[in-house]
Amino acid sequence: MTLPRPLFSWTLPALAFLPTLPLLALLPRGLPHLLPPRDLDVVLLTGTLALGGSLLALGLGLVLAYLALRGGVGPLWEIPLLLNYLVPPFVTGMGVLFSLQTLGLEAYGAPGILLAWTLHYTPLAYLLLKPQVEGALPLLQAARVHGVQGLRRLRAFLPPLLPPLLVAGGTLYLALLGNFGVPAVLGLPERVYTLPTLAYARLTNPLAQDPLGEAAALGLWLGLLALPALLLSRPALLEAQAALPDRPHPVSRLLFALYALASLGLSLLGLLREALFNPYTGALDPAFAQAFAQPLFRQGLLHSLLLALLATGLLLGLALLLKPFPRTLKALRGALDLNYLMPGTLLGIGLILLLAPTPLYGTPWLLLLAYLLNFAALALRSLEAGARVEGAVLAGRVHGLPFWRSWLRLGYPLLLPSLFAGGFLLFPLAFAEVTLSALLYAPGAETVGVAALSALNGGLYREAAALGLVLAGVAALGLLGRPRW
Amino acid sequence: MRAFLASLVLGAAALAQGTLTLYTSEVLADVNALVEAFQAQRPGVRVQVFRSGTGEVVAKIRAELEAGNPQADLLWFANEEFLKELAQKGLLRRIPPTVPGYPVQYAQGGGLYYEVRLLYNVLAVNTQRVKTPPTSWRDLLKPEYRGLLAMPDPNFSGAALATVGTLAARFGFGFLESLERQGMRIEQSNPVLQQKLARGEYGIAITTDFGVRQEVAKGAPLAVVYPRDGAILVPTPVALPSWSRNPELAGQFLRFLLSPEAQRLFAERGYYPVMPQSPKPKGAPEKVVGVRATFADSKTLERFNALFGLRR
Repeated sequence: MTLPRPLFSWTLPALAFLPTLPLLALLPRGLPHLLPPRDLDVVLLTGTLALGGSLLALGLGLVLAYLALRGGVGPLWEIPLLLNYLVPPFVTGMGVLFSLQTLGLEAYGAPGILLAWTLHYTPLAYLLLKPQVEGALPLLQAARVHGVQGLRRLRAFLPPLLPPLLVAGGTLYLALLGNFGVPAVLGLPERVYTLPTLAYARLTNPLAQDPLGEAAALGLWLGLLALPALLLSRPALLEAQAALPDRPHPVSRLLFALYALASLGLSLLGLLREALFNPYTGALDPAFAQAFAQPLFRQGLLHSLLLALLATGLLLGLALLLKPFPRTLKALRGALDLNYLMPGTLLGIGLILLLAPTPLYGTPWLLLLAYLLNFAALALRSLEAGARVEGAVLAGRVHGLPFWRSWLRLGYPLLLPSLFAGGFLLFPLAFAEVTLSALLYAPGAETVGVAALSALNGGLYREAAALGLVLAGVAALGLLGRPRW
Repeated sequence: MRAFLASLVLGAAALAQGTLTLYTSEVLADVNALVEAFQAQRPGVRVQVFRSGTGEVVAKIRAELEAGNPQADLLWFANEEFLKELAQKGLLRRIPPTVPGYPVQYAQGGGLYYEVRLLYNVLAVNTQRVKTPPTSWRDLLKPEYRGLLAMPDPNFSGAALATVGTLAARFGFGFLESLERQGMRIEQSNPVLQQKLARGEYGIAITTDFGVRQEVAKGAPLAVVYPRDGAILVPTPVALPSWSRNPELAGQFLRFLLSPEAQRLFAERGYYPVMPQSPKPKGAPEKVVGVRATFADSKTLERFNALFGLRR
């Protein structure tokens, strides 16, 4: 029995090279600006914030995954938690801003950014970790059977979880490093910069000598910060395996529900107040009609929906196609990682420089291409980090199933949770993408991110809050259609 | 999906029939109203808008020029220096002044670009926090206004760049240093500043007049003060680039902006129209003493950034 050779093994270098072209086009522009080193404080702050945020989200996600499994939390109670992630990051940022203002607290600056990131990305950590925790739960049961009690049981439980924790941590860290929306809402007004927002500020500085070069240099710093996460992309070790049924713990379920509701409240209450009440008179005065009187908002919603569906579908299809060829998958993902890590602004400018002379420019297809390049790494990673199904596939093949049928019948069904997690990760990112679309959208084909950013830049806080609530509503509808496993 | 594909197909087809692509820093709601009015007059014509801050609009045009595929048929933003740069390279098209009665002083580019309405930088006051408003720029240095003042970031806002340049040119850079000692804060943009002013975070702001009037219309406790010694008139002209694929339509849109209907729309939205016979914005004085802005050069901006600890 011979396994098929990796797909296109000889074309791999070419494949890996192509997606990095837009960024390579920027490299010669950025290098001259690296020395003497500037902005080291922003480099440090960005790294610290991303690391801190990842650890917080990872810790909370792990606890929540444990509570959910112990408490037998059903899909219904997961909805408020997952909503936090389906809402675009800049909406979470606005929600934190308005909520903290209501409470009389300062929302701008590093603590606010950290809070918004934690609220927003903890559900992602939860989704990435839950299958892994489920795989490790039998260890807890085994420990109990052997009389190990209390915290000491963690010594049996945590070590096998470490590799998936690292992989999930890498995913989170990269998401935070590249995030633009939250620091744009909670940092920029007080001039607290992270690397992506500083690159954006440099790029749009009317007086900069070489805005493209200075922004590219910041992108190179970002790449440096991302390196450790690149090295963490080992596949998970735990095999998907059902735990023995255990009595659900009501306290676990209660704690889970409390966190889910509290985090959602912190994101949404401020938005509700801002969208529903006139800030000057305090009277009930919903801003929804004003928001949707803007043709841009309506068009933006439609265009983003279509673009995000297309991008998510194409990318997950590619990931499934490549999953049986782990080496090809990893090589391609490694090359595409760069596109995801670099601030979208750089990919955007790189694409303009590369493709502006072609007929692709000025059409929505350019933006679709940018989305594909930007998010491909996440799609591939989500299946790479998923449960290992090769054993099951191999078993199928031993019993005489052909290669693809073995994957279709045995491998892919086991990957469904990872696939869902991947789609859950990709769709909202593409739907509410701001940075790339701001630069690349074809006039007349605006995205919802562009519409929201315009509203925020233009001081239309109340309309932006209304739009944010509508996006949260769309997200909730999406969750209703979620398949159950 | 069908609508999306249709928009793709239409987008290509409309290019031949009559599509106008406008790159602007104009406030979105305002430019939408104008575009709708123009499209209503000209069925079959489609106006596409790329709207962002002046800095980003200029960055996009620069990148497109470098790539050799510029898209905009019409330009409208607050960076006259960039327009001059384009004019020097022969990249602006002269538009014949075919609108009778247009005041020549607003065609500074000698027919290369035109003001279509007037935008002033003024003193905006939160009437709940400040009972006796300042009446001139120098009044801002009075002890009673200490810690109440803010302005937008000149690195982001073209209008704020005009404020810094004009105040430094008229009163010397020392005036800005005195404002810093008065505790002046820097906010990101005009709209954000106006929101914070309206909500009482500040007492006085150096900001655009029309934006304050729009907030007043929503019930904000604000007032516009045109300084006795001259509000700052910020140039935000409209220009027609030589690469425009539809210069005829672009010229028609410019003339529409100067038509009585568009001029009335400007006034309704709080701007002073540029044409002499047009109505004035609600609650605005009949006559304004204006000083044409000087944009800050990079040296002045660098000093300002160092003074206020702004990063660039």
